[in-house]
Amino acid sequence: MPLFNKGYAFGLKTPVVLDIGEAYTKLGFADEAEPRAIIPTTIEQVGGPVCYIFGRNNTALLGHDIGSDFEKSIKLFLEKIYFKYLQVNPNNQRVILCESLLNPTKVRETIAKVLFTKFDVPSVLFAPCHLLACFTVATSTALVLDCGHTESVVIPVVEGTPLLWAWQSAPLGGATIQDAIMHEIKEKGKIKSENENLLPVASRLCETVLEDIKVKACLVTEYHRAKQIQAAKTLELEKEKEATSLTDIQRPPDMIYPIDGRSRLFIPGPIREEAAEVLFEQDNEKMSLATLLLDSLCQCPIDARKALARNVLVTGGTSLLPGFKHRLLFEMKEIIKEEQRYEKLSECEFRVHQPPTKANLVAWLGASIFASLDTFEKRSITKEYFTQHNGRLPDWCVLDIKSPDKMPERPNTLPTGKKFPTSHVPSRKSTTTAHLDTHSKPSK
Amino acid sequence: MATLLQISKVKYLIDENSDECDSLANLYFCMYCLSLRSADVLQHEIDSHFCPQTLDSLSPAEAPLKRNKSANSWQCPACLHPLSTRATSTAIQVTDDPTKSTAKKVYYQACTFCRWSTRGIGMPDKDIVNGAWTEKANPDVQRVNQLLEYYKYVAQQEKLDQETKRSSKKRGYFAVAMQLNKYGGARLGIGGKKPSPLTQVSSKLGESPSLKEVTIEPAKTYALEDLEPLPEDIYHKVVNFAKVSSVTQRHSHPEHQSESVNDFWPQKTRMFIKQSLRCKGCDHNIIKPEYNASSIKFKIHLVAVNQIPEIRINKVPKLVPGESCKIILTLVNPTEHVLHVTLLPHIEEEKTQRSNCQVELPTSDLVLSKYDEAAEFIAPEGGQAQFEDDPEVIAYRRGNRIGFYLQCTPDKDLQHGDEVWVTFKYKHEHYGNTTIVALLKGDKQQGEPEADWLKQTVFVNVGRISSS
Ligand SMILES: Nc1ncnc2c1ncn2[C@@H]1O[C@H](COP(=O)(O)OP(=O)(O)OP(=O)(O)O)[C@@H](O)[C@H]1O
Ligand SMILES: [Mg+2]
Ligand SMILES: [Zn+2]
Ligand SMILES: [Zn+2]
Repeated sequence: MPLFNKGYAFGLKTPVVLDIGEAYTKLGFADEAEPRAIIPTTIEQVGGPVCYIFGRNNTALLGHDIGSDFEKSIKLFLEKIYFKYLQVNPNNQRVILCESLLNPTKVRETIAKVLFTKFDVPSVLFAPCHLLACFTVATSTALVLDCGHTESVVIPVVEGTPLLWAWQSAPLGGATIQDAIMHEIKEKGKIKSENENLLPVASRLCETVLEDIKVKACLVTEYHRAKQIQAAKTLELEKEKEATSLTDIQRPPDMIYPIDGRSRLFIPGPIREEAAEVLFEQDNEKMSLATLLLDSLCQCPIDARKALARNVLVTGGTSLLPGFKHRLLFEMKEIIKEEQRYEKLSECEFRVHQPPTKANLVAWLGASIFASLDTFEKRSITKEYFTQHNGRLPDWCVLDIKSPDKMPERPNTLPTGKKFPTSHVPSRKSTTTAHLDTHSKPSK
Repeated sequence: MATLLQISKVKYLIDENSDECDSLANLYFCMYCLSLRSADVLQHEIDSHFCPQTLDSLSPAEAPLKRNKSANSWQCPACLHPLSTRATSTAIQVTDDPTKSTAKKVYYQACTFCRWSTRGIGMPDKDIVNGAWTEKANPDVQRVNQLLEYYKYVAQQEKLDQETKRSSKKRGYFAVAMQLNKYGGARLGIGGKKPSPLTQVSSKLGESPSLKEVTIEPAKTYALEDLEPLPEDIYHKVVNFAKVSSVTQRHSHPEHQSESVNDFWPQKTRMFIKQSLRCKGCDHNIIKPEYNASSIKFKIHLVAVNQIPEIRINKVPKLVPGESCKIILTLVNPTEHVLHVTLLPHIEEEKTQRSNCQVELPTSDLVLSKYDEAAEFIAPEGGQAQFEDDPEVIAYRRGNRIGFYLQCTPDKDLQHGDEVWVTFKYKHEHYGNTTIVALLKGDKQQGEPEADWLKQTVFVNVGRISSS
């Protein structure tokens, strides 16, 4: 018998709290103010490359059925979490996972399966991260924006219930900014190695370098400045030669980024403020972060709109960029003034929350608070339940499972979740309607 | 070494039902169940925590409470390298005579790798070597504690209500969140024009006098005017990449995530763990690290390569579809007993079509002499003669290993470059059980140990077809 196989103080009462994001995973214990660690959502195998489990190019996730490869990577990743970082025996603690509502059923079921069968956890609960976020600001009504790595998702929460029909999402996030940086560097950046001349950047820089540049240099420009730059740019496009118009604004100086010991990357200064513009440009289908929030709000019941506007909650690592919130509010204010379709929101006063933690940890903290309550235990799915239902999980709103063949197609008008091309999102919508009926329907 | 290099070439069937197989080097052997186990089917347990620097250990009960952090070992916030404590002496003034000064020993911490030091960020030196350093506290911990307390109260209140009423109409998923409105602080109009009145709570309070009321200040919200725009000069400043922290550095302090390297703070080293592995079938330990020298009688290390005679590939001629050839496989005996091995054909079921090669197995028993640690140093003859080897079957014999011939014919329909897999079973004696178990139990009864017969199924990738 092992000498100490029972954590006396760390028993069932302190659940494990996981927020497995596409880029970063936050892990820790309930009832604590901050996660024990934030790690990249990757697995490393001997001799193999580092692999992002939910990464854009992980083939295990494509296609309809998620193969055993994916299951294996989940297992390796959880092993890392439990034995390297949390350092507790998995079979002692309940688990709460923050999940995005766009998370395909298949993915969560695989995670649950691995947790139950390989790690023998006593219970699992998947909770929607937008709802959890509300716990950190002690409110039950908030317009929650999660601006993560590849996606931004807005879901309004009214009286503790997420209004699913009003969700909005767009493929805007940290990765989008990194793409923009790469695009610019390819066009205007230069590389200088030892004893060599300046060379154009030919191949794609690796994501870690791009992320490093983003995190260290990028910021979100102030609204008027952004408009000036935009105007100047369109002018520039029209009369190609006269690039003089831009001189009115003083642009950031160029930057020198040391790539490795020997080569240096010359980055044009304007990237600093222009890269993050992708989040606010209304180019493609007129969608920006600001319109996501406004569109979502338009779909909410009239009587909840004002309260929601006063409780905007911004979460996700990308919102940590300097100047982000200021620009977002400014942008919303201006768009409402300018665009006819948002006229009905003109009465709303927008206010943002400042949760007691960093923006990328908000969902985690919410889960930590929620999992410390007695209610949590009742809501959890036990191993018995899981095996009795053949590895199917209930949706988070209803506790009985509907047959999978009756799921309606996802409406095409909604932006498609980028992350998982064959996601089962519609199932979530269909199973929750019963619940949603008890609330007032959206009005025009 | 051969085992390591051929790791994916010779595979052993672990579980008849699931058709799972793996290299012997990756497998464990349960001597109570007498069967192979993969890491997957073993129960991983945390045995003890230890600090990689000071080698202090902690029990699994204590460690999580101490956040799995070592007591006296610190790491560099910039590069995560361990920090070392430096001693230096400074002159301090004697209080009563400003002209005199005495030397005093003080300590600071520095990174030997990237040269970061506590002096560099202006942290005062300490008078004692250990114990004076602290981690930077989470600035939000107070508010979070308020939230925790508040929500616990709300949940409790809700439970009481349900007990008294026994009827709950609103059964939303997050009942707690639903109830928020009823019990206090958080109301729809938080932070807006109507600051939420906390007075409502008191009227409710009469119902459950046993609960102490907890209120919470509504969270602050900010309008556009309240938010600071970025300072004007930020656009003209030159970015010094060395002065801004990277994502990894930020994430190593989740609660601070400071952007400037000037705000770095030393952090305690995370502990490492020792794991033990337990067979899920019989609950016995397969691997058990020593917690400390006196607490465990035996270190049990049931790695499969130490228990099971191993097949390796020795020599393979050119493989041509439909043509019979002689390959040499090696059989190694890792145990301290003479082993008899019988090769058996593997009758394949339809679903596990893995082999694509006909084999003719030698019919006679293969006898393996025991593993002798000293064998390397003794002249290779001596003792060889005691085995009467059939040269048709045995290619060579060296210490505890033999090479034997296997007649194989790769299937006719194989193409150039296809992998050729040979499958067979073998039966061998196993002695480990009785002696060690007896030893573990502490009884010293001697005598001829009894052998069990174990059967293994192996899949051998002997190479690729080369046709020409
Ligand atoms: N402290 C920080 N400062 C600046 N940027 C950050 C910080 N932490 C994370 N980021 C950036 O924010 C982005 C998103 O981080 P986050 O942790 O929210 O992603 P995620 O939760 O994995 O994504 P998703 O929620 O979409 O699955 C990343 O691209 C990362 O580069
Ligand atoms: Mg996230
Ligand atoms: Zn260092
Ligand atoms: Zn066993």
